[in-house]
Amino acid sequence: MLFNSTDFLIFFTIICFAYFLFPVKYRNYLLLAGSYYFYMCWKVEYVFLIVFSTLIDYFCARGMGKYKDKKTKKWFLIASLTGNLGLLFIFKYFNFFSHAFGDILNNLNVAYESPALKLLLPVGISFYTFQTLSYTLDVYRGERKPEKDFVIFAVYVSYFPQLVAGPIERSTHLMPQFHRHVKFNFSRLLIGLVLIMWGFFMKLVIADNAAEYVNTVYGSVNQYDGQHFVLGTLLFCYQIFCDFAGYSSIAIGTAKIMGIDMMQNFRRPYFARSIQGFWRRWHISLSTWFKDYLYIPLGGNRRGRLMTLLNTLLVFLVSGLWHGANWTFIIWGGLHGVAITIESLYKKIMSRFNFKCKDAKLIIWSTAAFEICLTFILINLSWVFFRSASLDDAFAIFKKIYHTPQTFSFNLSSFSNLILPFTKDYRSLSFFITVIAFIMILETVHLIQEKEHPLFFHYWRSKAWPKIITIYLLIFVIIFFGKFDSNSFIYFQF
Amino acid sequence: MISVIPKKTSRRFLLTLYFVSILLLILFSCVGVAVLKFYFSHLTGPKQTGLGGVLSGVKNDYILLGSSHTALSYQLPEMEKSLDARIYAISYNGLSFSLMYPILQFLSEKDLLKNVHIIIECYTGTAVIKPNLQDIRLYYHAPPALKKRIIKLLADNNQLTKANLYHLLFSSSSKDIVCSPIVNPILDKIFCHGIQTHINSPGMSQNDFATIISPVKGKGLCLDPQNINALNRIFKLLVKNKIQAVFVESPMPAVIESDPSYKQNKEELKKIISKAGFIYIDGAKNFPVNDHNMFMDAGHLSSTGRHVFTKKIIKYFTPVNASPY
Repeated sequence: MLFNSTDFLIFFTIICFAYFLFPVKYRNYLLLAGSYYFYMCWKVEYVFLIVFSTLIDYFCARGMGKYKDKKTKKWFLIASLTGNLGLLFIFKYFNFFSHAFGDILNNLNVAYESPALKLLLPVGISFYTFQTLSYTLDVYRGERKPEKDFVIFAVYVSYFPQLVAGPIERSTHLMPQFHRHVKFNFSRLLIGLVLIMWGFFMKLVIADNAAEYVNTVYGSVNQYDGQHFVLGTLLFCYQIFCDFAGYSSIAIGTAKIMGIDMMQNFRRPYFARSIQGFWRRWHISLSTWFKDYLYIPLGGNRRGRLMTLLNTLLVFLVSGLWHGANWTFIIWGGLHGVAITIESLYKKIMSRFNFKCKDAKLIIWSTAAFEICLTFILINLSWVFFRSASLDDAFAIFKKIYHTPQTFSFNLSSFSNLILPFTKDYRSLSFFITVIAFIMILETVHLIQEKEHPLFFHYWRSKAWPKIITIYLLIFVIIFFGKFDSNSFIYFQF
Repeated sequence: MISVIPKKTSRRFLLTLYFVSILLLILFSCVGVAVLKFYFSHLTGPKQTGLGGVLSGVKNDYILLGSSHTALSYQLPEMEKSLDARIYAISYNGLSFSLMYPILQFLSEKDLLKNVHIIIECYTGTAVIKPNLQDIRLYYHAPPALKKRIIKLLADNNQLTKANLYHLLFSSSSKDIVCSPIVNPILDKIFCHGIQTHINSPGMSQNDFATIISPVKGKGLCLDPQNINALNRIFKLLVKNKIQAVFVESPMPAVIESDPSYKQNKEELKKIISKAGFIYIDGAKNFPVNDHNMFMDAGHLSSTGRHVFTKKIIKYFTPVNASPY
């Protein structure tokens, strides 16, 4: 069941009404039944995977709570990690590693036919596996007590708004909210609706319209020139952001209406002034997960400069692998790791010099603009790997982009050729104009949020009418400019 | 009386009322804009392409009507020069006889086909498939009367699902309408009499040409009864309004032309047209269909092919040859 479907609209309305009408003690049963139904709409059998994950982590955590000695706790942790990561490995990574192993042997002239499993990747498996793992790890570290109520724990693992594409919530933040008695609140409804509509605007109006171009050019690499890939990659950078941030916004909004607060997953990532800054703003729930459960346990920055750099690199390689079982994702993650490593070395060197300038404001502004642009370009270059179907495609695209200045000329004919992949006819021009206009609107809103103008925020927070007007305008734009034939959200595959 | 109602209940009632009125406002304004789109979208359409060029009222001597094959098979400036006439092309992707009929009917009702020679595209590829609206621009450019006929046609052929209707009424062509003040002047520059004049379509490579597969191969397709029905109605309309017309089929690559199924359907179509007393021109006849340079893809002529085909076809477009009516 997709968020952008009438099925979900009906489902959510029913769940929402029932949630507030049900007696408090039965509400979590309703959420659990609803969440399992939501997941079963993709493939009924895969609900057993969630149930399996839930059971393992519930009992392992209870075991850790019961037996206080470190050794027994460790065994429970190992059981939980093996169960969860084992599932993830079988469904997501087995074929990739099997082929990689086969390739290595074949290159060594050893005849080996790599086995392959014919399994369909369960939607959102990486998300709920990481969410449930964070709970077990927190209990193991003693940061929280094991949850006694099985239903509440099961709802935490499978809560439908964030089940298939996050945000990856922490048990310490989300689980206590299921214990609360929530009353219907009009202002929360308005905020929730704004978030939902903003999410739909990002997904249906920007991401899905930009996808027309991106899918066409990335779908036939041989057919298009470098200029197409420059525009295609720029559009992809907004497509993926609007697709994923749009989903997160809808998830946060739906939960908000039901009185549940979820963590912010994106914070205007393309305003980042460094790659490190980008990761503080992009998929925050995942980057903080990796920081808390991988980077810090590896030693973080406490074991010398070399180990810090190696830890950073390793975290980003794993992050790439989390996104997909393909070398393109690993290289994408690796590139980010290398960029952050270089960045931190550069900062270290620059901190030794003490620059002073008379006209400081201008310098600060121009430095910020330069840093934002440079980060944006670097991120876009890495998106080429993320979007390409294979490494060969990615390298072919880079080769074409390198030759762009020789193939592009500034005239109407070249420009028509550049935008043609949108619809393959003259409507491409209106597609191009509207997509660019909506991206500009998006970034203007981001700029307002970034600047946090006090007067604007005073009105936004204290009055209902700005939210009502926003909802009204967004619905209008979505109905008339949205694309409703998209089949999925990009991050579902992860 | 009011004081009897508990404060909490009255607040809930007010909130519900507030919410319902907002929902109604949204609903009415969206429907309102959709209605405006239905009645006035054609006024924002370009004047140098599609129906807009004919509806603008400029007198044309010849009108070409068809799909993308029409847009990519003729060199209008060359034809206009040779025939000393004004020619306009109405072309929409995948335009079949079923959709040509309401267009012709509408134009004749508006008296826009008087003393005009019509060159109707007769493409076997679209005649074998069920009528559907492939090119949404036709709906956008169509005045309300024609829009109604298109919707009716789609409904009669079970092609109008709820999603399609929503798309037609709400989301389709919104971008074109909003951008029309910027886009239309540009389109007026790059289009001339309905055809994109500066377009350069290079020929296919020999390898690509060798791998072309006939679109009807092995599908056992035969002429769609709805399309043939529409074709018969076109005949009646032409006769009734004494409109001069010829039916032209653009050449296709040799692989497709020699496909038994394509050949059979083409022959059948030719028979139907000839039986009705109209001239059928087979574009593939005496055309180098084996030459890869003549085609830009599996179904459309390249710039070279267009030049050769236009030269070949010009001789037919004289009043003597055009029609028995």
